[in-house]
Amino acid sequence: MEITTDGLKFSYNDSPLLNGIDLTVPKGEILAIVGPNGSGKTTLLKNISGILSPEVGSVYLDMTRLPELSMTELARYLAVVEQEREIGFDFTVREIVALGRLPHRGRFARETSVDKQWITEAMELTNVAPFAERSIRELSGGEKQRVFLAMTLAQNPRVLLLDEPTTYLDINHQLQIMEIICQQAAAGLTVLMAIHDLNLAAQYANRVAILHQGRLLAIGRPADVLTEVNINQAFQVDVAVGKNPVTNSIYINTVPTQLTRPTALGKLHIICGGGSGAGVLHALVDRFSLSVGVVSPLDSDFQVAQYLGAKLVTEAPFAPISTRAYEANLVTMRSSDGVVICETPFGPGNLLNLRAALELESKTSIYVLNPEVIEERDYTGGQATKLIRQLVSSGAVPVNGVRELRRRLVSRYQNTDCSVNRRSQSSQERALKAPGR
Amino acid sequence: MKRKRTCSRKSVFVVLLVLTVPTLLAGVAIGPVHIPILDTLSYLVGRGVSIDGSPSVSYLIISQIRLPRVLLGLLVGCALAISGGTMQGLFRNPLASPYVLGIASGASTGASLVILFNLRGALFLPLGAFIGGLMATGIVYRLAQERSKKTSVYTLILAGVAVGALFSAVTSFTIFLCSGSEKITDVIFWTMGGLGRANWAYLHVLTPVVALGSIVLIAFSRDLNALSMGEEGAFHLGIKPETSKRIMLGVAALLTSSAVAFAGTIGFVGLIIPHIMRLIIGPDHRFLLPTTAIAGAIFLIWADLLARTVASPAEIPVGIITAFLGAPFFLYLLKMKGARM
Repeated sequence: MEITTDGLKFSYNDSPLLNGIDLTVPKGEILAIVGPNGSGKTTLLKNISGILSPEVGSVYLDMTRLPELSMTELARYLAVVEQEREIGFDFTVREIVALGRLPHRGRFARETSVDKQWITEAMELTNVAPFAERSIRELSGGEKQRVFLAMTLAQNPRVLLLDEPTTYLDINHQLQIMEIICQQAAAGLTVLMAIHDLNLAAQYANRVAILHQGRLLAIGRPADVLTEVNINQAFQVDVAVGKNPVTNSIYINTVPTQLTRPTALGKLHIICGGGSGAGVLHALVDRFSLSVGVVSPLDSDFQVAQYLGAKLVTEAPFAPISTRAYEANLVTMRSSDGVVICETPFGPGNLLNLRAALELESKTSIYVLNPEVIEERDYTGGQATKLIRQLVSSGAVPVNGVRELRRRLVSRYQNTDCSVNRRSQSSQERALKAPGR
Repeated sequence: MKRKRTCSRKSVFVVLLVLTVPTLLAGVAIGPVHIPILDTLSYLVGRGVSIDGSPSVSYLIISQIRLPRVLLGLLVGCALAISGGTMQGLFRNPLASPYVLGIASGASTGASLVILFNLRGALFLPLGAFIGGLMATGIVYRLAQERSKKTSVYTLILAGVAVGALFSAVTSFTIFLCSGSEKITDVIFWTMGGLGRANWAYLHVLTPVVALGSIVLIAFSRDLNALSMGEEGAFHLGIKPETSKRIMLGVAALLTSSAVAFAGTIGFVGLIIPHIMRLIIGPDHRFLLPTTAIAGAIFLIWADLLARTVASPAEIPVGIITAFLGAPFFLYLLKMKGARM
């Protein structure tokens, strides 16, 4: 069944909550409505479910206007899962699920075998059958929400509305609920859900609509709608949109507000890779303008650096560092106020990063994290160890751990007036926009 | 932990129905005047006329005093318990009772005014109480109605308390005006509740009311189940919450007012019996309401039997007995089950 709204307007106490909403959800689609608190998500759902009547515009299920349906018809076509429900008495799980059959049964009719079958199936689909005889009030939030979902499935609706069904659930239960909804949508159920979690929306919805001040700011495929610009406009937060390597759907990261602080103490170049740089980057990003190199885009340090807005010198994955990258790295290092060598495993591929450091004129501005344990991460048959020792003996500063590193760097650069301290705005912008495109 | 239902729904029904028979018999057979059980049975099937054609005293006691009284107990117990169960379901609160809408106070006011103004006649007292009860409910309902014509259960409860207090004040004032005369005893006894005024005329009025009212409430029991999902939840299950609520409140108020009109304000039946039945067969109102009705009848008949025999020939108001039995049991339930009721 298709949901259509045309120019829905609704206001509460004279303040408009919905200001002309046009949307269509075709059969079998999951449309997620996101938006900040108070943007009108719940009001929109209540207008569509018939709890509230729009002041202007109509809601259609297929081609029928909502008011033309009888109460029973409406309940047979449309079911609703709310955010949270408090049940007054000790109903058993099965009794609650059985309520879903009410619209299919007369006032005095008893449960038929068809009813029983729907109830059993709904309980099995949602995996609540094992505690069918337990009281609803003994269950955890996640179990309860599955029971309510089972009730709506027993209702056998064509359209399912969900109002933040996963808000109070842990991640495991969130996924369980969303998976069940996806299965049902695949079988033809039309799903419209208001949801807070942008990443769940991106992962499970076919389309996403952003509701902002009673209007649809954008509607379309998650990747087209959940952009930095749209999210910033709706939620007033800076985010970085990336791609989830596991699910291949986009995902949204908030960017710490401190990133936008303009004054950095100095520019630091970080030699890292294989995850060794993440901690260092996070520890330094609030006080320094950072660059990283040479890393490959497959490296987790690359992704961290990117989100933190660091300048990157890159090389293709699994390729040894080319002369071009080596030179670029050297240029970046030379323009930095200091260089940090992380506890990176060194192999033939990235050994050149150490050689580049050795080319620097002022070795005293090189900081080496825990140089005494270099042998353990030396995969070059001793060459990396030799280079590190050479660096330290020619003046590089060995530091013991990230905290000490930060302390020493801050105290050193706080007192010096570094020539080019301005953090490059362009690198930051690039990082915010780069992935997911 | 699996939820334990000690007995199946069917067996609860059967047990209750079977218990009704000895309860009725005991109610009729036992009393301050000793009447052999065999005589009682023969009177009940209509053979109570002595050889000279005039009815025996024992026959009159059975047919004009005990039988109407037991039947009144049956109807009143039934009405109060099923109304209580309905109110608890509607308010989604196990502490609600049939009197939550101020019916008891309203009825007391009505009855006390009738006594104050010396209105004689068999049906004046019940009529006054009935009108008072319904008036209180009407005011409470009106007060709780919002601009949107919806009623919030919380406002209903609060309005019930406030209106109840107002009517109690009127009753107290009436009692104050009655002081010094014999009327004061009448008023006080009326407010304590009892089945002592039972007669066939009462039964003719009350029987159809209780029968019809109970049938309507049982017919709406599935709405009550849906309403436990909240009013919006019920709406999504195809129930019109406002309509269902209005009908059930109206019928429950009617039942309660009628019961109170003939028997005074008997407490605890409408609070305790739905509770006990909910513990035994669970909260599904389709089974809860009918079993509650039967159990309420049985409970009130036995309570009345105690009321008129423990201090015989004197008679204790039955409200005292129900409270004596009900209150400790209620406390026990609260202790055992806590908030989980």
